[in-house]
Formats: sequence, structure tokens, C-alpha cells
Amino acid sequence: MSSSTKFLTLKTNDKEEFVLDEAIAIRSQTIKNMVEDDCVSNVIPLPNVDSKTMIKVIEYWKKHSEEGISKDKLMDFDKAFVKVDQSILYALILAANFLNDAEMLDMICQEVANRIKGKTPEEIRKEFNIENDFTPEEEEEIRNENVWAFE
Amino acid sequence: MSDYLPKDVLVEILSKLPLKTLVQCTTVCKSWYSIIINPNFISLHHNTHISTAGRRPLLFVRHYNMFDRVERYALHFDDEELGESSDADSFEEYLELKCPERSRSEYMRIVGCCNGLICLSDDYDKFTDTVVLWNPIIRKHVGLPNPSLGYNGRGSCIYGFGFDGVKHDYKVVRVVYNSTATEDYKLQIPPTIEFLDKLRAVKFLVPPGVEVYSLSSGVWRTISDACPSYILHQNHSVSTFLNGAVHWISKDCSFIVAFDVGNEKFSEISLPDSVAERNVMKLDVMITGTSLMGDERVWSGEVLE
Repeated sequence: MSSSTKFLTLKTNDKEEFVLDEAIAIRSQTIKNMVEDDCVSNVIPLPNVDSKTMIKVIEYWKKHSEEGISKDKLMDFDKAFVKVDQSILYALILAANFLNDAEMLDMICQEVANRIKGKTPEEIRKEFNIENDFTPEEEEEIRNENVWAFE
Repeated sequence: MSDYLPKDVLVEILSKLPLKTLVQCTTVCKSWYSIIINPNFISLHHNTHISTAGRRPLLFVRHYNMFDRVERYALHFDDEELGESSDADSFEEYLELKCPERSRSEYMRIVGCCNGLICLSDDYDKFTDTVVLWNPIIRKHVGLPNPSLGYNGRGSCIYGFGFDGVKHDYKVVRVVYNSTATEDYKLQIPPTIEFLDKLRAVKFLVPPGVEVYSLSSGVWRTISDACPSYILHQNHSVSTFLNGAVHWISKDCSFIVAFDVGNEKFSEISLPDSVAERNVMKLDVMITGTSLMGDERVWSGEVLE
């Protein structure tokens, strides 16, 4: 690394500090905007991200910033990266959304979509902890409009 | 957990779902339902999926068997390179479709197709007012109301189908030429001289009546003033939708007529001299890539940029 490398300190909501190369940290559009608007003092607070999640995010950023890494290698990395518990995956989604990293968000959303595929509406509700607010009649009516999709 | 997901993230996730799962998701809860049936979401989903790498393109095929008189529609995979394989599995069938309307003659005319929506008209052999917009993938269709301009069946009535990208609306344009014929002429074989004279004396009345149906309004609206006072197409010629306009070849094959689906205006596009001077009998207009192509009975084609 050349001597001109700038470092940023990111502080998660559990008071952990991460020192990171600015070139890597600005994969986050949110951080990039702060840097460009010159409102970065010493420490950038990340009130929506905890340290456990931030470690994963930085792991992703570093891998995706590696020079000359092949597309295949990145794909393998991404595949392994999203093989985590549902709760970690959601924390990563919220972090990617807050940090505004479109590429990472897209990749994780795809993983959530893959997990939804092939599940029944009841299984999806369970997985997402959603309450069914349709009456049985309303639900039946929607099903009847699209019988083919429920066959 | 979805309580914690911001709505735009949820939209992003749902937009990545395959259609069948997505339709099932409409029954998960009211908020998911309202996201999924929103027209903006539907366009987002459509655009996400047409641009997805690795998506297998589908070919819409209509097949009519003269012997059992059955009209079949199906979607086939269309990712075989031509000439690469003579394997019987090429263009494997993906899904058989149930046509929403049974033709009163032999089969329906395919007026046009855009964004996966197909416009069918039952006027191939025998004229009827039946026009249907059909989305075969979600098995839904809309039968158009009866048009307001009358047609006596003895002239010509053509349809064009297109998409107004600005207003996100689908439109069907109907151009009606009634004729001076006072009776239905049955083709005589061999034709007598009197018959041919009678046929020659029949004139199409111009300017034609023109009306437009828009899917968002659900009604036909007359716009006859917009139409040029010549006969803008050949019998049984196909229309082609490209760049926001429906295109036909003019009756004398000397130019292309375009109907802008957005502003509902007609305009003319000249044909290259090489085509216009050849005095062809029958010419159709087709799309190749992002250009129009004049197709003169398939054995030769010219690309019109």
C-alpha cells in the first residue's frame, strides 16, 4: 500500500471501531457521499450496523476489491458468503441497505428470493414471521383468480 | 422478520421471484398483495426478468391441424442455435397454452405481440368483432368490447397492437374500410368476365374509419380524422410493432405506414429504392434486431434502418 492510502474509522452501534482503507470503504455509497461532502471527521458512526455484521461486510468488500480476482472465484465466494442463518442474512440486508451497497444488496436479495422459491405461502409466512391478515374467504378468492399458480 | 425489512428491500426481493412463486405470494398477506399487484412493480418484475442473464428465451408457437381442426398454442424454448443440432429435442415445448377464445372459423389471427401480451382477432376467414388481449403466462385475457365503427364485412378491417411506453398503456388500433359492394361475392372458379368486372368495380371507401382501444380506459375511441385518405395496407398483411409504432406496408407496396401508439398519429416511411422500384406483389414488414425489415415472400429481405 502506498503512503497516500487514506484510512477511515467506522464505528458500529456496539461501539466497535474498524479501520479501513478509504478506497474499500467507499463501496458503500453512504460512506462515499459522506467523504465527498467532506463531513467525515475522525470516526464514521454506523448506527444501524453491529460489529458482527460489519465483520462480514468488510470481508465481502475486501474480497470484491482484490485486484485481478476472477469472476468464478467471486461467484464461489458469494455462494459461500450467503450460506448463513436467516438472522445473519437479514442483518446483512439491513446493513447493505443502510450502507447503500447496491451490488451486495442485490446479491443477498437474490439469496432470500432463492429461499422463498418453492415454499408454500404458509411456509413463507412462517419464515418471514408474517401474520396472515386475509380472511379465509379473501384468500380463497385470490387463489381462485389464479388457480394455475397453486396447482 | 419482514416487519424489519424496509419496503424497497422487500420489493427488490419479490422482483427476483419467478412468476409462479410471485403469484402464490399474493396470498401471504395484504401488504405483499398490494406490492405485487402494483403496476410499477409489475413493470419492474418484467424488466428484471427480461434482462436476467441465463434466462431461456421462449418462442410463442401456434399450430393448426387441418385434419382434426384443432388450434394449438404453446411456448417452446428458443435457445437452440439454428443448424447446430437436428435433434428432435430442439425447441422443446415448455408449456401448452389454452387459447382463451375459440375461433368461429379455423383459427385466430395473431395481430401482434408486445411485452409478452398477445392480441388475437377472430377475422382470419370470416369476419367477427372478437378481439382478445391475452397474457398466456398468467393465463389471463381481456375480451375487447364491441367496436363502435360498423363494418359490413365487404371491405377491409385491420388491426394493429402496440404499447405506449410513456403512459404504460396497451392499445389496439382498428382501421375500417367499408366498400361499395352491395352483396357478398363468392369466388367463382373459373371466374366469369361479369364476375371480374363486378369485383373490379368495388371500391373501398376512403378515408377509413379509425378507432383506438386502450387497455387502461377499456373503451374504443374514434380518431378517424387522424387517418390518411389512402388505403394503408394490403389484405392479410402483417403489422409490426417497433419503437412505439405499428407498421404496415402500404397497399401498392411503395412505402411503410406507421401509427404512433402514443400520440395516435399516422406517418409514412419510404422504402429503399431497391425495394420500392421492384414492383413486388406482396411485401410484409418485420423486425430484425432493432430495425424494420421488408420481407418479400421470405426469399429476400432488405433491412430498413
